[in-house]
Parts: sequence; structure tokens; C-alpha cells
Amino acid sequence: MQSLTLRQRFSPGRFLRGSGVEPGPVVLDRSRVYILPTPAGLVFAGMLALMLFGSINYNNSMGHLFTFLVASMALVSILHTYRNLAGLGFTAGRTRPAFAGQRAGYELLIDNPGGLRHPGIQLELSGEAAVVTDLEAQQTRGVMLWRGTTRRGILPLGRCTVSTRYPLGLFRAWAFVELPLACSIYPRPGPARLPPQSTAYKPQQSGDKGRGVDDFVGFRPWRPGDSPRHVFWKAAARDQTLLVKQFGGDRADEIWLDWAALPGLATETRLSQLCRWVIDAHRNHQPFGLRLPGCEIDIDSGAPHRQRCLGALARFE
Amino acid sequence: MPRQTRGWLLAAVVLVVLPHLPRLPWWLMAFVAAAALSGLLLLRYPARQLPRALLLLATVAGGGGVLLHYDTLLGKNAGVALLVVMLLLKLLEVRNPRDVRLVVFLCYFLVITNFLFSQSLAMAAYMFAATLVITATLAAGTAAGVTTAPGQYLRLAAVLLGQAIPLMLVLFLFFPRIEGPVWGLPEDAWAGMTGLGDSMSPGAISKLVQSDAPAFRARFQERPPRAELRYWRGPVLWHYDGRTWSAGDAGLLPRSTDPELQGDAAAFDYSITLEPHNKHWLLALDLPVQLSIPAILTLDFQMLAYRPVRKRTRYTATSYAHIDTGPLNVTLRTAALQLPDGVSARVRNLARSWRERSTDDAAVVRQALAHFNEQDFVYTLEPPLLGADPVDEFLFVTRRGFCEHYAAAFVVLMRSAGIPARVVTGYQGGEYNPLGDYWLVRQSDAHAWAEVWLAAGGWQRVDPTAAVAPERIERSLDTAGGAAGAAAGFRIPESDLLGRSLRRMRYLLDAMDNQWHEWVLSYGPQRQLEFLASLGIDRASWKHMALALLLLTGTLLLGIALWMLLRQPAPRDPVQRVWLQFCKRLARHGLARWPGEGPQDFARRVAAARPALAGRVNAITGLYVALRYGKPASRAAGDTARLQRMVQRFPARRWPQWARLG
Repeated sequence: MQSLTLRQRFSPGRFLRGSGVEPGPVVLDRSRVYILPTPAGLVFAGMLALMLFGSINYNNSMGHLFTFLVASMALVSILHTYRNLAGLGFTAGRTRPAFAGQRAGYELLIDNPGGLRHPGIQLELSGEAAVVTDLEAQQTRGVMLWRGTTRRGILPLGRCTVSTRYPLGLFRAWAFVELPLACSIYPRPGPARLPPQSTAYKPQQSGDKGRGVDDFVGFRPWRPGDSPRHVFWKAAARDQTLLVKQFGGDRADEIWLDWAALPGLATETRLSQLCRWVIDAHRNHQPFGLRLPGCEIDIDSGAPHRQRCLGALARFE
Repeated sequence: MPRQTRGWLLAAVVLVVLPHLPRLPWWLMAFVAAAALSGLLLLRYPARQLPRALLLLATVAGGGGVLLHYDTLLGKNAGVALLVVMLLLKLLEVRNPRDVRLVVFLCYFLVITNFLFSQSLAMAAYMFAATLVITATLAAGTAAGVTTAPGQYLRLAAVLLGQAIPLMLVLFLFFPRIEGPVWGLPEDAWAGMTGLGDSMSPGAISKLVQSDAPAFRARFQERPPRAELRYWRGPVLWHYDGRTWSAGDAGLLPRSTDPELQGDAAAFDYSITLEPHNKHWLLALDLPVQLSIPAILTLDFQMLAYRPVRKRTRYTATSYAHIDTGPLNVTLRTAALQLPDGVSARVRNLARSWRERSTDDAAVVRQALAHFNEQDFVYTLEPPLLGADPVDEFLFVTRRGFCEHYAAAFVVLMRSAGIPARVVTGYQGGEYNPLGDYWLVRQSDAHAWAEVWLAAGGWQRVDPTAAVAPERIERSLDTAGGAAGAAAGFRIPESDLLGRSLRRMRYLLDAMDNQWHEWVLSYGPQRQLEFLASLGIDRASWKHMALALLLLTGTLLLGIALWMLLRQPAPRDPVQRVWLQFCKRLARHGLARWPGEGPQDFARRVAAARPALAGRVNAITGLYVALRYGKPASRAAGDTARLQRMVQRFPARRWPQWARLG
């Protein structure tokens, strides 16, 4: 971590907003941790003032002594509150992508290199419920933070507030951590609708219909790009139409999910529909490919493939 | 709300309410018991909750009860009672962390109210323990949701309070003190202080002697007076209305400090530390002539402070065992012969018979004492109740009485015989504490005696009680023993070992209590100035104190912070300790482990950055991973030691440039 200039260190912007995105690891130290009394701490201070006033009024020595004891304890607790955050290191972990409208997960790895337990560490994204965790001595722990999403796209984690009220809840120490962690937000899946089969290919009711080389499955009209070796030349000579021999046998149905198959719709609606098809195709164990303007993912199947396709939809500009 | 937090809350509340219990009315005690029991039941059945209506009803009943019982909600006693009611009810409906904090803060506040009633060392120790529990409760409430062993919270509280103590001392010594009260105090602010009253009716002193509380402590410069001279003078009572003795106004005139007023006996110089009793008189050995603090010395040898004694007061004084007070003026003589109309004929006749048989006043006095001694008078702490004419009834019917009965009857008889006389109340005796070298005089040493004016020598002390029970003057009264109506018992010196060690223990405790008063409780604005002067800060203003306070507090906090932050406990697992040593060594090579970087990842990065070290790093990391994360069964006995050796042999520093090139 690079050191800060004095002006940076004391700028009010840093106090309010943190120092922006930094590559991990972010280690909490004096220059990052702020401390202020909690509302409970203010009530406590009011009570101390009342106790002091009573002690003065009654000339009560023990009253003075006790008031000072409790006040000193509150002062000392500031140090404990600070120490509970100090030294913790934060690095970015994995992300858990989500469909728009669902909650996206971000993992923060918190490292406690010291020999002390750090209980009651609270992590909070603005507008989300806080997560509280305890860190044992010498422990590194991953903490999942969830953030609600509304729109498709790439959603950065943003500023995370790390705070603690340990040990007595009278003071709150906090620090801002902003790690370069971004999560893909897939389009909201559209309505269930049968995907249009790729042009010129109709699956048969019987037999193996996947694309392959093992078995002859049937014919389909020629389209540009088909290998001349597969053209059924006899029929071409007879009917003046070009047919292509299709082979299959090692694959099930396979489809192309094509941006172009959804003309006339808004971009997001198209992406939503494609997203739905990707999900369905994956669920049906159907190999599929995805064609987007400027991006094509070849036919494949499996979870990583699904994720790649959904990621492409999320990133689509 | 976790069950453990509820348990903590209950413990804290019970601890702070307990010392208040004896001061509360019986129905409030029952209320406290019921609430504590409900708290226990809620702890046993955590799913249950008390119905809101019941709590509301209890709130109204409790508050109303306090109002009815004390007629106010504002006084010291009423305020405490109300706080207790509120605290207990809040305890029963704790639902969220905010409620927990409220109860805890109320507990802290209730601790301080206890000090309005007692500031003894024992109370301070008890309250420190209570504070420990309250603080642990706050810690447990703050960590709500994460359950830790109860001992952990107690330890945390102990650490916090332990670190707070040096700061507390600085604040106590340097925080600018203001002499209170700065605001009006409730009427009962000074209630509950025991001491002599400003009037005396039958039963007044025998009630006071039930109390074992200290009245004052006296330390003599040289030898102490003999037992029969240890009379401590308090209010002098001149006026009798047939039932009650009061001061009147004759004797209260100030006495000029007359240089001729020298005793014909040896002088006693001593210091007295007087417990507050909320009245004006400052007690002193009979007869005082000089006092170190501003006070009025009256004609009848009372010493009156300008304000009621409401805090422990220390002064030195000089007394003479006997002073010839000289002639009596007319006003005083009239006052000293005053008698109410209703003195019975029997009393007058008895006095007259003594007068007829005597040649002078002294002989009358002797006859009166002989009368008390020879007739069947009994000295008892629990005399029978007396009717409309107590003196007559006591002298001729019951003949059982305490010192106030004897003194009152004796003075009435003397006045009837035409001898000027007055009642003096105060204390008699005292217990020597060899550990603290002082005499402790308790409320149980309260006494009443008489003074008669004789032409030869002026006012003379006469103690009719001594004629009935001479041992009263020799020893202290034993208020603990003795059945109702029985003759008063006296403390017999214990001769057995147990008795002796018990007594030594008592001396030690009282001496400690005295020191506690001396150094802690009497520290106020005056003592603070003295203390600062002893540090070389003369005539310290509050600015000086604030500066000293800031500097010292800041330094201390910094010290505590450094100590806390630098002292990171080493991990308990030896394997991990060795691994951290290894990481430190690598850090010196410029290869610090990133936070959160696992050992294998780290080793790979090191190997990539410094291929020369790869072999050793991999060996150490492999062994470490096997030891730390492998099955415990696969750990061989010598493995940890082997790991240690490997780490120790690992080059601590990067070779210097020339060495590597060479």
C-alpha cells in the first residue's frame, strides 16, 4: 500500500467516501480507521455528566471516583475498538454472478495475521444488510457479501464499510475498503418460449440428431458454408436443388441461439430471451452455441459453457 | 436476546439493588424479590414473555407505591426507590440490544446512588465487583449473537477496568474539584446520618447506642486521658419541659477565648476526625478550650461549627480535665435552676430532705449519688416506657433506666434542691486501636451526664450512671448481647485466642477504613489544592489542572495504546509459531507474505521470485502443511523440532551483492 500525502490523509472526501478502488490487499491501519462515538456512547457520556454533577452536588468522593473509573473505561475502550480493526487485511475473492433482480455475491477474504481474536467485525455495502463475522487468531476467512441488482451488466462491489463496535458498543471504528471486485449480472430471463431452430435445420422425430460424423441422419437444404463433401450431388443432378447429407450420432440436439433470430425487439428484451434459452438449453442438456453481434461462442455444453454464454450476455454492449 | 445476556443482566441488576434493599420499604422488597424471581423464571423458560398488561400494571403500581410511601418522587430515598422499580421492570421486558444498554446504564447509575448512603472501603470493593459484572454485561450485550464463554466477557471487563485504573487516579487527583452543592439538594439529602440529637427525651440515647457506626476517631499527641476522664462533650441541655431536654439559649453565647481560662490539670492535645452527623457541634474531650478550625466556642463549653457537619471533618483541639469556671451570672443561674411546673411533690420532698441533711451543695450531690447507688436502681438498655412524668415515675416506680434517665433525674433533683445543674450529652469511653494508634468512639458510646455548679470550682461533672453501674465508665457497652429488659451488659475483654484475633481483625479493618477516609473520601477542593502545592504548583487554577489533566491523560492513553498494540500474543500452536518465524525471515529477503495468501501459494511465489531458495522453501512449506493441516495421527514426535531446525538453518538475510557475485 502506498503511503498517503498529508493532504490526502486529512481530506474530508476520504473521511466520507474512502480513498477509491485499490488493488488488494488492503490492510487497515491508522490512516484508514476512523472512530466516533455511537448514539449509545453519547447517551453514556450524558449519563457520566449526570453522575459527575451528582457527585459534585453531594460532595461525594466515591461518586467522583466511580464516575472517573467508568469514564476512563470508556476512553480505554476506544483503543480496544481501534485494535479490533487494525491489522486486518482484505483481498478480493470470488464472485457469485446473478440474474438481474437477484442478489449478486462477492467474496472478501479477511486475513487476521495477529495472535488476537477479532470478534464482531461488521461488513456492510450501502443499502444492504450488514454481515457480522468473528476472526480467530491467525485466521483467514472468506465472507460473502450480497448485493441486490436491478440491471444487467458488470456490477463492481463498490465501497464496503468495515466497522466494529467491540468491546462495549460505545464507539464505532470504521474503514472503507474498495477492492477491484466486479460481478457479472446476467439479463433477467425472458418468458419461456421455444427457441427458433437454426435456419434450414429441423430435428427429426427419430434417431440421433446431433451434429457429428458417425451416422447418416438425413438431408437438409444447403446453406453457404457447408462443406462440398457433404452435398448430395446425385439429388442435385436430379432435382436441381442442393441437399446436404447430415451426420450425427455422437451428440443430442444442438441449437444455435442467435441474436438475429429475434428481430424487431429491444436490445434488453432480446438479451433476456437469449438468456432464457441458454438456461433452458443447459437444463435440457442440449448443446448450444450463442451468436451475438461481434461475438460467437461455438456449440458446447456444460456449466462453464453456460457461464461463458451468460457472461457474454451480461457484457453485451 | 441470547440467554447468556439475560443471565448477565439479572446478575448485574441483583448486585446493584442488593445493598439498597435494607433501606427500602417492605412492599418494595417484596416487589424486588418477585421481579428477581420472574427474571430467573424467564431465564429458565426463554421462550416465554411476560404479558405487557402485567408489566404496565406493575409499573403503575410501583411508581404509585413510591409516590404514596415517600410523598414525592424527587428525594434521595424516593429517587432510589423509583430507580429500583424502573430498573427491575425494564429487566423483565428486555427485547433488543437497546434495552440491554438501557438496563446496563441504569445499573451504572444505581451503583453511584449506593455511595450516597455508604462510602466505606467494603462498599467500594463490592461496587467494583459489581462494576465488573455490569461491564461484562455490556460486552456480552454488544457481542449479541456471537456466543462466547461467560468467563471471556468477565476477563474483557477486568482488562478494561484494569487499564482504566491509572487514568481514573489521574482524573481523581487532577480533575478540578468544585465545592458542592451547586444545585439545590432534596430535603432528605443528608438524612440517615446518625448522631446525637439536639434534644433529649427518655429513650433518645438508648436508641442511638444500638448503632455500631463510628462517631469519631481521636488521636492524642501524648498520653491519653484515663478511663474516668474520657468524656467527649456534645450538646449541653439546659431547658426541661417536663419530658424533653433542649438547649435553651442561655449557654449558647460565645465565650471569649480568655487567656486566664487555664485548667488546673494537665492539658490534652489531640486531633479528631468527626464523622458527618448533620448537626453543628464538634465533639471534643471535656473541657475544650481551643480548636483548629473556625467554630463558636460557647459559654457552656460547646464547640459549634458554622455549618452542619455534612462531611468528615478533621480538627485538632486542646482540653483540660478540669477548669475553674468561676462565678455564675444571674441569667445563667436562672437557666440552671429552671424547672417545669409539674415536678411532683415526691421529687421535691426527696431533694428537700437531702438539703436539710447537708451542710453544703457538695454534700447534697454526694447524697444523691449515694441514693442511686444504695437503692435498687438498675442500669438497663431497655427500660420500661415512662408516662406523663418520667422523672417521678423513674425515681419511685420503675427504677430501671439508661444514662439519660439518671442524668435527667439527677439534674431535676439538684435544681429542686437549689443547686444549678445542667445535662450534658456526648460520648464516653472509646476503643483504642493499637494498629492505627487512635481511639475509636462509636455511636454505641453515646452517653448523658450532669454538671452542677458549686461555689468552689464552678461547674463540675457528675455522672450519676457511674454511681449505679461504675463498669459503664470502665468499659464499653455491649449492645449486641442482653435480652429485653435485662441489665445492660458490658464488653468483657476476650482472653481466648479466637477473641483476640477477631479483635485484631476488627482493629485492622477499622484502621484501613480510617486510611480510606483520610486519603480517598476526604479528597475535595481543599485537599486538591494541598496536593498540587505539594507537587510545586502553588495556587493552582483550574487551567493548571486542566492542562495537567490533559497531559497526563494523553500520556497514559498513549502508553496503554502502545502496550496494547505492540503486545500481540504469540500463537499457541508451536508449528504455527515456527512458520511465522519462517515468514519473517522471508520478509527480510523482500518476500513478505500477502495477507490471506496460503502457504502453498506463497511458496510458489517465492520459488518463482528466488529460484535459488525454492528447494528449501518447498521442503519447509511441505512439512508445515503436513503438520498443520494433516491428520494429527501422522504427526511424528520429532517433526516440529525438525521444522524448527530447518527454519533456523534457513539463511536469515539475503547474501550481500559481492558475495553472490563472488
